[in-house]
Amino acid sequence: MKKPLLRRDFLRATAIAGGGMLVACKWDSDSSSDSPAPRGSGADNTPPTADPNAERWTPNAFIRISADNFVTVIVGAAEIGQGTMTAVPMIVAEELDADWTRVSWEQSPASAVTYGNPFWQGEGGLGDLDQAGLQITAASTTVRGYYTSQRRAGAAVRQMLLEAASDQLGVSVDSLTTRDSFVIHEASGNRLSYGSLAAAAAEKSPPSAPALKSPGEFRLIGQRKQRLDAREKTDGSLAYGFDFEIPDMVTVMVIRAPRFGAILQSSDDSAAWDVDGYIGSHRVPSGLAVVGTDFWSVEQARQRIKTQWLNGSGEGLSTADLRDQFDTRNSLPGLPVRNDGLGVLSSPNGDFTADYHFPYLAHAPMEPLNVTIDYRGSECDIWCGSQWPDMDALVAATVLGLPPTAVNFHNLLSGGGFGRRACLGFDYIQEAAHVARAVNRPLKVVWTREDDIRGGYYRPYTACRLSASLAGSTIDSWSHRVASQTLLISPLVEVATGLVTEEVQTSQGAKEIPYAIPNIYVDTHSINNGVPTLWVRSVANATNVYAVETFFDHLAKQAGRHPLTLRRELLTEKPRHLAVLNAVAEMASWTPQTNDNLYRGVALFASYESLIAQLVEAEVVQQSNGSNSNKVTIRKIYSAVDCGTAVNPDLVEAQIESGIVFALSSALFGEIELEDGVVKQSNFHDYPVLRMYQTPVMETRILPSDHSPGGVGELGVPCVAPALANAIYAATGELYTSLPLNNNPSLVFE
Amino acid sequence: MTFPKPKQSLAITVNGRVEQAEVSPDKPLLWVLRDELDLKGSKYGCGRALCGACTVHVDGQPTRACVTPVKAVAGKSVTTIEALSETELGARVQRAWTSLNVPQCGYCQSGQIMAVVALLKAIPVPTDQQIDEALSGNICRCGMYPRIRKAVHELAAGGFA
Repeated sequence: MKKPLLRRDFLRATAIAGGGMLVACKWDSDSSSDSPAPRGSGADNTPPTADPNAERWTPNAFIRISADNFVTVIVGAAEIGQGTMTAVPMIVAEELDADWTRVSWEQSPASAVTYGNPFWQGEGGLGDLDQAGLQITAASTTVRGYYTSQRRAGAAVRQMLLEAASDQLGVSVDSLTTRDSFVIHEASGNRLSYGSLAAAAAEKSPPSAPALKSPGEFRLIGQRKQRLDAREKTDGSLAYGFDFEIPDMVTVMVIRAPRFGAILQSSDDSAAWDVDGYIGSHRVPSGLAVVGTDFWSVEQARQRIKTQWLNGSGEGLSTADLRDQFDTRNSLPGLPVRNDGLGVLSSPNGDFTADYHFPYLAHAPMEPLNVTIDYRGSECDIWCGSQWPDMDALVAATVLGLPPTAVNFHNLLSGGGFGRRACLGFDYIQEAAHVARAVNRPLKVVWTREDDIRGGYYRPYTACRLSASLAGSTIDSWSHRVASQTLLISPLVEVATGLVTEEVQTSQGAKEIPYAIPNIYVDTHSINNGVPTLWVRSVANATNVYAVETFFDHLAKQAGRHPLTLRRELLTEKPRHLAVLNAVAEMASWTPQTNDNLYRGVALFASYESLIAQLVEAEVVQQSNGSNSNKVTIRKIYSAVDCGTAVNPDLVEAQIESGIVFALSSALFGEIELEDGVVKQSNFHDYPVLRMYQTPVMETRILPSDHSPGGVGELGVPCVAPALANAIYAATGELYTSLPLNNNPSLVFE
Repeated sequence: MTFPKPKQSLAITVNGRVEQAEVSPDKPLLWVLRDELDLKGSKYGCGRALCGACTVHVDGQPTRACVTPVKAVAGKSVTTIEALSETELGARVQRAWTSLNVPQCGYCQSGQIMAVVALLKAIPVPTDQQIDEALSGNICRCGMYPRIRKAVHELAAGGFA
């Protein structure tokens, strides 16, 4: 952990009716998150209801031990596919010595004060939130952020159970051991279940500094455990937001501006009244809210409503023009973020220069956005799959004019997120709150796939200008200039992050170039042209690492060096980088002497307290049809990962595989284009994502490590495209400076 | 304009039960299943038969429910993910999915599993190319294709019985 743990360390335990115990943070004055349990456990998948007589949630709880010896871990982070609901319970259960077959999960209420990720302590700029951490699931922080606090909680509760057993058996704590949710007195053979001890243990004082296991004592951490949420994700029983219903609910779709920033001038819904199930429409800030009984009726009605718009700033904007605009900006000095060495390279004036261009990208999670909201004048319940539930709740309260305590936000498991559900613009939650005010009855705002693809909040359009000089057979100077659209689109974010003057995210992956080059200069331009942008899985690392790693291979070739050899030479002082590089080369049996009919490219990168090297093995065959194009077939993708302690190696591998597929989608064909301000793409036919037949064979190796866990959710993304481009470069000698690669007429992907 | 067609009473067999639905005959099967019959395991992902999240079986054939008008399945037998565990093959596929940690977000998996069961019924031991042909209509944005392929091969080899 990079920061000290603060008040979270103080635990409070209470007995619960019928035996058992509940362990909570010492935040007993906080009732802001008092709301019904938002999610069943792995064993009980009943969706929450709005029944006010339902059992009330106890705030602040994060471990519950029931009298029948089941352990429930209440997880603050969001589950968007990455395995949160398994990894976090494993961490608690490890130190608790719980029986893994009797452990289940629950999603916590929305409350940064209680459930915020300790990773973000001190990052909030919001008083108490600073102490607790933001409750945001982003930046691959869940396991590395919650790791220590969850271990301590598990260890503290185990200690309390030992003390209770000591009282009951009249033996010393030292004579007792724990295993599989039992306290065991070896000498007498007595075994007491945690469930039977829980009520007495709740009377004990939690130890302030419980002893933690050494890695050699781990029984769960490091094991390939099955996901706790696997069953309900295979039998159709898990209720995502799209499936969630409340009594008397109506369905709403919004007709949004055809160009970003346009204002609704007038609408005509006369033809919509032919549709059985159409209820009416209401003007909201984002457009026209179309209300009906169900999805299909609303979709039919919406198609029959005519709207006129006052075009805002989006008119005339075409992505085809951005290339020149961004290059022009990159001809001027930007805001310096790194300046090593002689400082003479204050502009890109090296012997070799390349301009890179990356398009807008949409997240396109499988479950389109939706918000279910029950606004009752003085209070409000919201059900939504969110990566940032505490802030979403706060924004909804602001729109509704309610105190934050009057909004109960029930976070649901999401059908994918990739950043879209941690929206810095808070677009979907603000809109749903406005719709709720206008419609004034229980409702669900649903987005169609077209709404999703055209809805903005894209990965920003980005251009990079790289420039370098060689000295002898090595790289002497390197500059990397980034022009990218700022992500700082919300005043709320400026308040929350304090990032007002500097857009640090645009330089991610450029500033951290790992190679020992004597002179390194990195600067950035932030450009805002009215298109709403947002972080997408791995954020600016995806674009900057592409530029760094492909330009590196280009320079290696100019210097007459093999890309492996030059990397090794410039990573001598970076043993962990070197280890993943060497591991991936070994996996693929690739040496500078390899000479066969395959082409290979490698890329490496470190972030999220993890490191990865990825290697693409491809066939590249010049077409014999006179088109001067090359047919590229990816044979295999190798990944070597150092993520410190891998809590669940199978889920780490799953994340790397997932990152590869996500990255190939954008490397090969991911692109959002605008013409005269209108988004061209709309659905998976013109915004293709990778499919089964396009997915290459993969092999992933996790390097053994006793370091604390690093993040892996985004780790598998940034190196895939540059490794692929480097493999093709090895065959053609062409530096591919624009993504997606499919736009390049000289490349045909099989 | 021919739309909207008035509601009709249609008999469809869903998961072995004859259901009488009062619906417009043009209403897609997906929305009849989800909103009339409260079977929400079949998912909306694209509405255009592009992603496969809505895949159900109609007389055993994998079918995109989001573009299938309900009138097209009158008199036919529809099977959804909710009833899949009642068949031996369906239960085996679900065991493979949980054992191999196939799901991530899980949203596409109803459709993936329905497509896989249909594949294995038609071709008990599919080649990689047959897997590509049968399953490339189902998008998994979390990218679990390698695990799906592995699960299919292990099932074909008799695993998860």
